[in-house]
Amino acid sequence: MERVILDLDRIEGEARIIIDVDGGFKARFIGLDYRAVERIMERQPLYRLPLIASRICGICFISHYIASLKEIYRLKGRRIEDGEAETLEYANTLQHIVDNLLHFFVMSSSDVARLTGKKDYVEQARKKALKLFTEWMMIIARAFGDPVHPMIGFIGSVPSMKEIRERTRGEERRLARETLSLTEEGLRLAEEMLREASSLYPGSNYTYIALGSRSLIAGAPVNPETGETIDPERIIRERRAAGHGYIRAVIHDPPYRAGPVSRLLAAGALNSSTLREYSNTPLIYHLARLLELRRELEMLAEDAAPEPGEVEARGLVEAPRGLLIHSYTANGELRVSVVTPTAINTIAIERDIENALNTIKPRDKKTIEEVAATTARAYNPCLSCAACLVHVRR
Amino acid sequence: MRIAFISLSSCNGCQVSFLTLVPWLQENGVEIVAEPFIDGRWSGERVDLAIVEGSVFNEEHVRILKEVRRNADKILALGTCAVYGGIQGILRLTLSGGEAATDPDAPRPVTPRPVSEVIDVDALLPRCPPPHRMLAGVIAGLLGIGGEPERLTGLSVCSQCRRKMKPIKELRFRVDFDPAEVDPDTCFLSQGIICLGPVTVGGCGAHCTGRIPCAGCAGPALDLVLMRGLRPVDKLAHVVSALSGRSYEEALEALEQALHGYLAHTFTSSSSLMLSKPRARIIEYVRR
Ligand code: SF4
Ligand code: SF4
Ligand code: SF4
Repeated sequence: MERVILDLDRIEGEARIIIDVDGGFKARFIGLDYRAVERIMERQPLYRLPLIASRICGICFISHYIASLKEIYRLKGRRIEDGEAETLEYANTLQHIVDNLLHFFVMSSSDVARLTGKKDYVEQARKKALKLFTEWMMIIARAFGDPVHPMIGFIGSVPSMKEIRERTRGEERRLARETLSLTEEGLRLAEEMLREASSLYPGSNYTYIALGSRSLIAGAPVNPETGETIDPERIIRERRAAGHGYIRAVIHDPPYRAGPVSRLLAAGALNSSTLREYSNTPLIYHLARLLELRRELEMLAEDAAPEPGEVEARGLVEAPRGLLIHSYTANGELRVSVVTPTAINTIAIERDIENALNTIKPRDKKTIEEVAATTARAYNPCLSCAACLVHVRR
Repeated sequence: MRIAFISLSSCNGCQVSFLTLVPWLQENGVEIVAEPFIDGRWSGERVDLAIVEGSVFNEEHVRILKEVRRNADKILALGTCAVYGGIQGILRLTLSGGEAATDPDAPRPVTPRPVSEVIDVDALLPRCPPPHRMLAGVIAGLLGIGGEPERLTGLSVCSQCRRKMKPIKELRFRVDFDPAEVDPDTCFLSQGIICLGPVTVGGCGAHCTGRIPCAGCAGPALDLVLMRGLRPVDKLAHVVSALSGRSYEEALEALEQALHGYLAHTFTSSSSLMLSKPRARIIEYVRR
């Protein structure tokens, strides 16, 4: 049996894909780094938990911060006031914008160039995107004090949208308009990728999962295709430590898919038959990400603050990569469980790598690596997040 | 002028901060030969400056660092993870690398530690992450492209905090707090809530302390780095003694009842410097 080992780049954190070639292809997606963040949080006073949770990830720090803060509201039996919810939704929206920009135009640029053949065009878009990314990070800094690991607030001290607007002085409106034209270019590229390559990168059956609302911070997990609600505690129980390096993968049959595709299904902006038309390809994640980005930018361009409605105090948010769960219990000793979207997506990533390889049937190592990397990157996996959390023997 | 960015065990936040400087660096004629988010991993090319984020967790990290030292004229250890081991430093105290459940197909864990304990580095820039303007100044200084490397700061987080220190009436301290019971304009320490501001290096803008006490993410203040025997709690006791008019010993006793050592070292617990303070070779450029 032949084995191909690929250390995946242009992702956050460190992942390795191990592919065994023996007639067909068998893939394993493993995390190489371990940062023990659940254990670290269990020894801390509550006020520090969101601050430490944000250090799980240097790109979706706001989503981790908010999930942790929402869970502390629950522990303390406090209600999230409407004004606070509005600010948290706005902060998470900024997080999605920077991540979507970075992922499609920068981290996936080699995949987009390879599948569309438009190398120079993609390179120009990447340069524009990096500049816009920098400007969006400065909006986060104005609104919340710092571009990376900003201070979103604590119980009773989340700033109001009025304060935030005074700090950003409406700059996000101009920037949203500028970013929209690049997003339209991106959408054309993503559509072209789908036309050219979706049949080569087929998916299979999945259990889609997302917060069942149009908000990025409200609602409870549902399967948007069936309408069935999914108990977050069940997802916590479905994690397994073995077989994926330092990722505690969530095992479910058919495997879960979290992220922008699931969110669009939940919002009714994408339907199952469109997905099947494109053979459930993982490449549709790129299109979904950009459709979300366009919606978020249009909203900010019109100066409309996203309105989450009633937000339950519970550690659930939609991070850019998908559903993120922070669950804390404090019966004497604090116990912390964090389930990240990449842990939820791990099995689907492995299965899709196998689907693509078994369809394309590459013979050389370079093509095997390219196909596996393109498939995994479509999910925008974040190993900084996913590989923090496996529990080890004490 | 050529730069490579290398990422080890980290949240990647320092890299994201660096990313915001890429357009500016390119406009100044700096070639970024490797940036993991943009064009993949560094593959050993010679560079003028290597910037390393994150701490060491496995054998592969050690191998990369040795290769970086051979091929980079200067190395900047960027962020609290690289300089003091970061939050994941707890692994050094609670489990040796070998104890961690590992995968036969993943590189073997080693004793977790900061970058500067594996190779010699030319500059250390703690904070989590350092403000991007501070980082820009340091990179410009190291590359000699304008700006000057500024001197080590002796200031702590308190110097940028807006809360007012007031006399302490009672020597009773706690680590957690109820926001509803706190005066928003008065120093946490003055209200009996432990804040690491006095023992944490300044420069972050103290943007947390308007809402919550400082957790020390920037790394230790300069006097703690330079004075072998001085612990965070010792320095806090000096501040508390001054604010309460009580003896240093009484203040220390009261603080030690509340502040477990680990809570004072959450971001630095794998640093030999902080664990035993034997090292003096610290070069830091800080914009005041
Ligand atoms: S120092 Fe802080 S921001 Fe930088 S990599 Fe470490 S945890 Fe992330
Ligand atoms: S001890 Fe904390 S609250 Fe008090 S002045 Fe210093 S940083 Fe501010
Ligand atoms: S925890 Fe302290 S050092 Fe870190 S950013 Fe907040 S105030 Fe600054």
